[in-house]
Order: sequence, then structure tokens, then C-alpha cells
Amino acid sequence: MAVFLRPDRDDVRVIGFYVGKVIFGIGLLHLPAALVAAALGEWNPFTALLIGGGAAIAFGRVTELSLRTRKRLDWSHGMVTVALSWLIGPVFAAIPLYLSGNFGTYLDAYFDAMSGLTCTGLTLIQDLDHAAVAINLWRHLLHFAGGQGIVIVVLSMLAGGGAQVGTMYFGEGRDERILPNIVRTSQFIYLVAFVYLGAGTIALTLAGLVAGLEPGRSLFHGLLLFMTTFDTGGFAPMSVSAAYYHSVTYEVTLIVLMFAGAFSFAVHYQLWSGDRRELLRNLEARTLGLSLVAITLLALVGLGRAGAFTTAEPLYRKGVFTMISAQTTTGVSFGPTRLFVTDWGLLAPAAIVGGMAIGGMASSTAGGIKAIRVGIAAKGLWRDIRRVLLPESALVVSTYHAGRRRVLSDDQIRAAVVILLLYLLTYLGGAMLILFYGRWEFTEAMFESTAAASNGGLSIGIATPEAPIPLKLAFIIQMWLGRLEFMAVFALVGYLIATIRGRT
Amino acid sequence: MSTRGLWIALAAVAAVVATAATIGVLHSTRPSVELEHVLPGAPDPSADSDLHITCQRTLPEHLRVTIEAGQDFPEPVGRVISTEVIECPTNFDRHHVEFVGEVVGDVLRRDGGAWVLMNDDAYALEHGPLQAHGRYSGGNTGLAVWLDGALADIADQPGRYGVRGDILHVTGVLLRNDPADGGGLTLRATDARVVAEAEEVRPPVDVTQAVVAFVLVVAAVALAAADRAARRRR
Repeated sequence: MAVFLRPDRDDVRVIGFYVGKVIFGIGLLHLPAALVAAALGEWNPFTALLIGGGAAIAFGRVTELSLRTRKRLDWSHGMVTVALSWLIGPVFAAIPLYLSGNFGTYLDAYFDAMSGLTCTGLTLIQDLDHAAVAINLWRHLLHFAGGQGIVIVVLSMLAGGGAQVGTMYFGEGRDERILPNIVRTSQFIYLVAFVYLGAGTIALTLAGLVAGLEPGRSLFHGLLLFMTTFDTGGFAPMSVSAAYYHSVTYEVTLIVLMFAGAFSFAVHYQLWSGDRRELLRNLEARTLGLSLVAITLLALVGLGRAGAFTTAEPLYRKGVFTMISAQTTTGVSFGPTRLFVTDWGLLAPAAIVGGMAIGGMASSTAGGIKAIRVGIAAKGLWRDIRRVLLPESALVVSTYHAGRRRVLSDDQIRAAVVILLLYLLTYLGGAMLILFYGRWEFTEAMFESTAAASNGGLSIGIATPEAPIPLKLAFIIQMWLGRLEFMAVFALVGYLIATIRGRT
Repeated sequence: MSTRGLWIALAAVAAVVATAATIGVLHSTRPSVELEHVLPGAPDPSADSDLHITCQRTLPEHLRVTIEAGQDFPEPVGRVISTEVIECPTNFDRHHVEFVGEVVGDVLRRDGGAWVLMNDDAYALEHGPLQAHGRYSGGNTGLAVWLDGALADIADQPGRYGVRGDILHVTGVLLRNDPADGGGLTLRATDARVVAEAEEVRPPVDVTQAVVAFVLVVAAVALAAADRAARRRR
């Protein structure tokens, strides 16, 4: 039987110290939105953002002052710090949302803050189309911060301890170091993000001008939509999402940014280093490509059978683009998402669910099970089939390419399949809870549950302000679990159990 | 736990409770602006809680004709609301309908006309923008409308933060699968008129919230300064 050691006061201090640093970083994040509010004369949103930022900064400084410790961060501390930061961070991020008046309850505001940071995109905001520019910007800044990983960025910039933050790097769902040093890896991640921020915002602003937006509004929409697509978030400046622009130029630009967001930062590094063949050899890229082709074909057949679209352009602009949004777990929609239920038949929405469930690449901004796990599981299955078919004495070795050629081990297969099963259980568990209320069909329940747990974000209308409170709480937990890929959350639960039942 | 530790823990709990209470009070005491009912006599979508959309709206026999290319537009089948169109797109495909809603966001002028998003939710047609009154009525709902030629000039001021936009009464053809919009669900207007002009509805500055913000900013700056001083001493 496993023996847990009860955490002592120093363990709690070191965790609290680093959580405080993360919350301090979230407090600083309020400032750009507050400045925009002041510039536009949106004074109530301005003071709301100051309250949220001030509370977070005060909390961060108090915990740092009172919990400062020389104790070094170990693996368990790092995992618990990540899990707690992603749970406590939305508490402060929700303050300006709640004070904006666009949320009926604090729970709804917390839901959106969690959805923003986890880059899910489900939203309980009310009257988005009349929301303040600064509040809309704040929602999308949460995507930008969460997509790159709030913990690792804040700590690598503020902690000054690269070796110590390594455990938190993996706790935030990053599988591999890109550069030998964690701090340099997180700096590279932000370099990529800011380069794409510049280029993507310029491209979308120009597309917006072509679509008929005024220059200032085009920049506003371009910046926000960059953050939602590159960080595969799902929030949008207007309630109808990408359908607002009626522009193929806009849609194509968004698609490019979605792919950029769904690629792992390791692949970005390879591409930036000039190795474009990596895209063809990489197991994840191949799995992602195959998955996308498969779900798109299914969707096209489904849409044709349902009679939703019968000509090529609509099939591409609505069908294919929606599949890309689903597979990359961006969650941007190209029409009213309620039409998935009322007009798209059954097969096309099922393909959307499949795409969200699998998701993008690991160590990217995307969610879902991740293409690498699906690819490894598939390769593991194929290896076992070959073992059965070949003579007993044959040595069967399976390899895959991810940056370099690697041998597929039993441990890797086991790890991939375990997480894959956890995701599937979470998708199913959420659906069962939705079905408990007796208001929705199984297909609708699976759709919404998968959207939450995969951080996919396309919604068919179950996650609304009128949803039952237990469902909202379940969606919040699903988003949290999905973003952190379970292990950090399990570490937190284990820590809490050890606090109660552990041995000293 | 030592006495000092107990006092620190109690102070922390008190700070959290005080902060939460302050935020709750600020949320519930937001200043508001009353707005008159925008469209007297029109059906109020938010008021009809018994509205069941069954996709079997009964149309008069002589109006059960769909619009074919080049055909003259028949008399509209009546007023539709966006939620029923989205629930039953096939029902209204290629029918000539009336639709009332608030222009929100932007007027996207291009290609000899303009795209607008027209909302017919409670924030558009009943109470006005949420910041003005605090009456929660769910999310926004509306239709994408194409205003061709001179009709595009009718939509002048769209709704945004602090503004309830122009309310238009539009007559047009509903398309479930508009080829000009890559298959989008749209309403192609054949006629439009302004029912109500845009209105400013920005609530006054919340002084209480401003005071709380000032206090918190001062506290945050003081704590940051204390932290820097503590680091220097070390």
C-alpha cells in the first residue's frame, strides 16, 4: 500500500509562494485592458479592471512577503502549484468580468475566466454585442496568457529559477523541452507568439478593412481574433463569431492562424530552423492531417445527406472550415452553432465531436487528447498486431519521428493510452451528468461535454447562463482537467489526501 | 498554530470575506439608465416564455410559395424571430418575411451594399443594452442581413457599449444557404425602414467602484514597495 508523507509547513509555504507569483502576474495582465478602457473613456470597466488587477497584485505580494522560503521546489510542489494556480487564477480574472455587469452571477464570471485561461471558448456572457471594448479585450487576453501557459511564463520571467520551474513546465501540459533550458524554452514560446501576434494582427486588420470595417474597429477585431485563433481559444468579439464578417479573406486568414496555434512549439522551432520536412515526417503532424481528412470527409458526406449544403463553396466555407476549427480545438464558428443540431443532420456534428476529442498537437495551444497520443496508441496497436502475425522469434521494433527518429517503448504507449482513456472517461462522464437532467439528447450531451473537456469550445447551446449550477461546475472542472491533462490535478488531490491521511 | 499565525490566518480570511462582500455589493448597486420600450405594440420575444418552437408554423395557403430566381416578391408571410428561424431553417428557406431588430456592431459596407447583424433579443427590442438596466435575459440572438444599394445608408448607428443602435424593420427573403455568403443563413432585404433611432444609454460613472479601485491600487503599490524594500534588506 502506498504511503504518503504529510506535507509540512515548508511544503505549504513553497507552494503558496509560487502560486502568489503567478497571481501577481495575472494582476499585471489587467493593465493593458485597463489602459484601453481609460483611452476609450469606458470608466466603469476601467475601475473594474483596476479592482481585479489590484486584488491580484495585493494577493500575490502578501503571499510572497509572508510565505517566502528557501525550500526548493520539487516535482510534487511544481505539479500542485500549477493545479492551484489554474484554479485560483480565474478567481481574480473573474472580478472585472463580474463587475462589468455582463454576468448574472460570480459563478458565470468564474466560468468564463476559466474558459478564457484554458482556451476553451464556452461562454456564459450576456449581451456580448453591447459589451465594453476593454472587457472584450480582457476576455481575449486571458486566451493569450493561458495559451502560452501562465505559470511557466510568469515564473520563468519572475522566479529567476529555471531549474525549479521545470516541473511546472510539464505540469502545464507541455511534453518536451524545445531548448535545453526551460527558461529559454518559455522565452522561445513567447517569441513565436509575439511574432505571430504582429503578423497575424496586421493580416486580420487588412482583411477587416477589405470586409468593410472601419480602421479602428478592424484593428480591434483583428487583435482579438488573432488571440482567439492562435491560442485556439474560441471567444469572439461578437456573438455570431466568424460568421460576422461574411468574408472569405477573413476566414482563410483565421484558418492559417488556427493551424499555427495547433502546431506544437517544437514543430515551430523546426520550421523556424529551416527544417520544413519535419511537417511531413513528424508523427503528430501526420496524425493530425489524417484525422482532419477523415473527419472532414465524414462531415462532407453528412452535410450532403442532410441537404444542408449542396454546392462546393458552402461545403468549404462552412463545412471544411468548421472541421478545422473543431480539430484545432479553436471553437470559432462560421454560423449559428445551433444549426449543428437543427440543420446539419447527425453525421457532421459527430465528426465535429471526433475532431475536438482528438485535438491538436501536444505542447501547442490546442486541447483534446492530442495527436501524438493517438499516433502512439495507433503505432502501439500496429506493433502488437505485427507481433501476433510474425514468427515468435521475430524482433518487432516500432519507431516514430518527432524532431528525430525515436524507438517506441512500452512506457510511452502505456502513458499515451492512459491519458487517452482519461479524456474519453471525462467526455463520457460529463455527458452522463448532462443526460441526468433529461432535457437533452445523448448526441447533444456528448457534443457539449467533449467541447468542455477537450477545450474545443464549439457549443450547441447547453452551456448557457440558464444551465443548472452543477452542470456549470462540471464544465469548469472538465475545462481545468483538460487543459492540465489530468496529472497536475491528480497531484493536487493526492496532496490533499496526504495532508489528511499522510504519515509525518 | 502559534498566536501570531492564528492572527495572520484570521486576517487573511477577513480580507477575503471583505473583498468578496465588496465585489458583491458593487455588482448589485451598479447605476442604471431606464430606457423606454423600444417598439410599442410589437411581439416581445423575451416576454413569451411559453413560446415553443415546433417548426410547424401555419402559413396562409396563398403565401406558401417560395421565391425562385427572377420572380417578383410576394406579400411577406409575416414577422419572424431569429430563434425560430435558427431552429427551423428549412421552414423559412426562400420565404419573403419581415424581421425587426437592432443593428449591432458595425455596418460592413462593400460590394454595393452592406452586411449588418440585427439582433431581436430583449436587449435590442425590450429593455436595451444590459449595462443600462441590469435585467439579465441570456445571450444575444439575431440574423445576418444584407442591405443592398441605397438600403445600406439606412443603418447609421449600430449598437455598441453605451449605445442602443438603430432599430430597423426589414422585409426580405430568408435564405438557409445563401450562395453569396458561402452558404450562410441570411436575410436579403428588399425593403427597410428605421423604427427607432439609436440612443445613448451609457450608465453614469460608478463612484463607489472608483473609490474601491483607488484604495486597492494604493494597497497594491504599497505592498509592491514593501516587497522591494524587503528584498533590498536581504
